[in-house]
Amino acid sequence: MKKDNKNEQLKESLSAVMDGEANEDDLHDVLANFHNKKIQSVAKRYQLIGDVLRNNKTPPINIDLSDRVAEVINKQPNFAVTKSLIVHNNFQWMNHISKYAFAASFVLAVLVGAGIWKYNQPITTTYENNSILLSDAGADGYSPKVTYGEYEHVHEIPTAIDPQQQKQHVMRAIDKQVLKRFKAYSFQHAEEIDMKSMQGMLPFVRAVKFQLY
Amino acid sequence: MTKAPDTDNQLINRVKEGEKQAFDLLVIRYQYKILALVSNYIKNRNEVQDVAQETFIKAYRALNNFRGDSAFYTWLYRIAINTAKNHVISQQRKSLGVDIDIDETEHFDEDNLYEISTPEDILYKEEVKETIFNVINSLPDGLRTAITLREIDGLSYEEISDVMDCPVGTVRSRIFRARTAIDKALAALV
Repeated sequence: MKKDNKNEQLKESLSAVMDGEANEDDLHDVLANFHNKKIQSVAKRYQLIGDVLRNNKTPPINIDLSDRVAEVINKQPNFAVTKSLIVHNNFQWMNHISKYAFAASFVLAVLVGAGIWKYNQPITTTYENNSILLSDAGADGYSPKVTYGEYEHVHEIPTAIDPQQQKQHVMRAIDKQVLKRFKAYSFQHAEEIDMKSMQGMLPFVRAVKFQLY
Repeated sequence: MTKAPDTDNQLINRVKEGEKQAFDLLVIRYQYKILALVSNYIKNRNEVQDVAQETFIKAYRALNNFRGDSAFYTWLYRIAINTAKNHVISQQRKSLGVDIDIDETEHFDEDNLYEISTPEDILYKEEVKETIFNVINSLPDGLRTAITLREIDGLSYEEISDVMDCPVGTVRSRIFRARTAIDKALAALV
């Protein structure tokens, strides 16, 4: 008798669930017993009653997808377990954005650095030497020299004018050709320093030495 | 038409917590609607079932993307439409060996539905229908009114309680008793 009552209560809860009018207790009771094939059959018939009564264009009512879908879903990893992975995947776009942001920052830093270097470098050199912009000596005195071409127009920097005027004067003096020469010189200088100190080859040299000795 | 977003959302939350059986209930609730929807696009009975099944599986896999901003059925409906359209396009590519414009799949007319039922299906359906209506007509007035307002007019329990001037609990009980009576007759058929 008690069992019948419980069964009737369960079916009443199921009826409410199928109507979308269930409370948490109804849902809990139904889901706790939904492994029971009899309860599943009752649920399908309750749904069928509504679908037939509403007389919408119904598919063949002997088609039942629930078992097929359940079979596939039961092979899937548990939702609660995969949830953390999916949440992790949701934030992967941030990784992509951060990569692009880092690349953009790097490019920006290089551009700004180049701009600052371009602005500062000749002025300092010119103020210090007060005559020529660049030395024509190689880093070690014998390496091939960069051809500087003519730079007479930067020699004559007036010393009597105030620093601001000097700066403006020097800035006007630094044309593209001089800058190009300076870059060539810097590049060669860096190469020579690397070759001389072996800094550019350091990882290989260390590896060989480590293996040999 | 009353919808049931609360129960659906409750079920979805349960699925997200790892209770797979809650999704079985969602499948049972919406399988006929989805089958009917998919049969608007596909005329092969087996393909309709495959696409409807795929729809539910896609929905399950994407359930974390469902935020509950719209009703679950609305979301499921979109998945079903897209799955059916993709199926149609892939089938046409296979048979014609040409590219199909996705807009072409929009030209399906809902009045021109494919009938995927066999004559046996139609007979069976008629028999089920007749059984249901016979039982309803034999029900006491209160039960018949309650089940009719719920299933045919789509009113909520609260709306039915207003119409019938009785507590919501009574409405729930009457609907359940009406269903039980129909179910007894139907169990022999289905």
